[in-house]
Amino acid sequence: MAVQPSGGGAGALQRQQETSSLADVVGTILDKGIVIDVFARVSLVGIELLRVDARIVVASIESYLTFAEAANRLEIGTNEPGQLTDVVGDVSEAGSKGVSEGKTKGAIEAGVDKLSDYIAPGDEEPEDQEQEAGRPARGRQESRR
Amino acid sequence: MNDNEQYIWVYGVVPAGAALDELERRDQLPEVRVVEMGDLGAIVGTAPRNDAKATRDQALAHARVLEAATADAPVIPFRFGTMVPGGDEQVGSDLLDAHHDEFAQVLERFRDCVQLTVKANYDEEPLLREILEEEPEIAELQRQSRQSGEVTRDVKVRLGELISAAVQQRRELDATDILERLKPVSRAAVDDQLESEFMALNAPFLVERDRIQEFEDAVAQVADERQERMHLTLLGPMPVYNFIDLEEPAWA
Repeated sequence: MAVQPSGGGAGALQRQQETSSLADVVGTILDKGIVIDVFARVSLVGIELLRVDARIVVASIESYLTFAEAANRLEIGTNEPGQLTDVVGDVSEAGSKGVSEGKTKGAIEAGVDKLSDYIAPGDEEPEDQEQEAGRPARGRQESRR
Repeated sequence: MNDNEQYIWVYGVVPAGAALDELERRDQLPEVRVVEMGDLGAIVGTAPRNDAKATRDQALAHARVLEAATADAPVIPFRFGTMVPGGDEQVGSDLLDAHHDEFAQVLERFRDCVQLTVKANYDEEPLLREILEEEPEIAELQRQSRQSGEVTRDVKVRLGELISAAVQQRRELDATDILERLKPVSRAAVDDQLESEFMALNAPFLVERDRIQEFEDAVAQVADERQERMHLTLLGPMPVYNFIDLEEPAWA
């Protein structure tokens, strides 16, 4: 129909050929892929944080509150909007951006943002040592401005 | 790694001699090489430093290298974090040679297939309106909680719990429906963990290479038909991450 599967933008389907964000990666590769037992997987700093942040527990108190807040954000003619804003204001701060953009993606990305604030202050300025430490030159392009 | 011991990072295993053009072509990939032994090749590279930033960069790199390789050849994706102590020689002997038969079998099993993952997410507002319309009890509770100004946590939890159950009911119907629609154009599918409250379906599909376009068209049509209340994302082609442990992945 109107959809160009490999295009992007037009149509109801969002087509994503290449993984481009950490948020996608977490769900795709963690805990997946073949395991060769003899090669003890060296524990990697930061992996556990990624994993914890990516896991959203469905049917938990937290998810109930998410639903309740989403329901309370709905604009319905019979309500007085004046009072509502106060109630919804602080509880929906994190999710409010998601209302127009698609809440679900927002939640995951927000998690990853939060994570990067937490574990990697000053991430944006790659240090000179990085290259010496054997980081492939091409892989660094992403962190350049 | 900063230790004295040297590690080689393993991305995945491909048939020896595979022309991995896409891997050469794509930008923003780390430097990788293929170590060959007999009829197998291992895509390997330098292990990252062991800190959080390097780990996160490597996570993205791992996925992107494997995707690029999948464009041209069957790939056995390795669990993130797999490293072989030593050098290329050990990769050949301790990995490829020592596990030859297992790798050869897996490559053969998935020779013609890739993974494409369908993620369906409800649009928050239409879904909630639908639920409020169809479930008077929930609508009443929502009305009360909004009128009372100060909403207690208990009321919110109760309201959320009811909505959660209503969403789950719809999720089961919609997920089954979407899976059924895509069954004829795929070889298998699995139900992966949901990533958010408003997700309806997170399903990796095993799709034959020569039917990728057909599958994409079917997903596009499914998306079109449902755009009033959900949006779909299609990721891939990627390696068969979710099927690698299955002996005979197939629809029941």
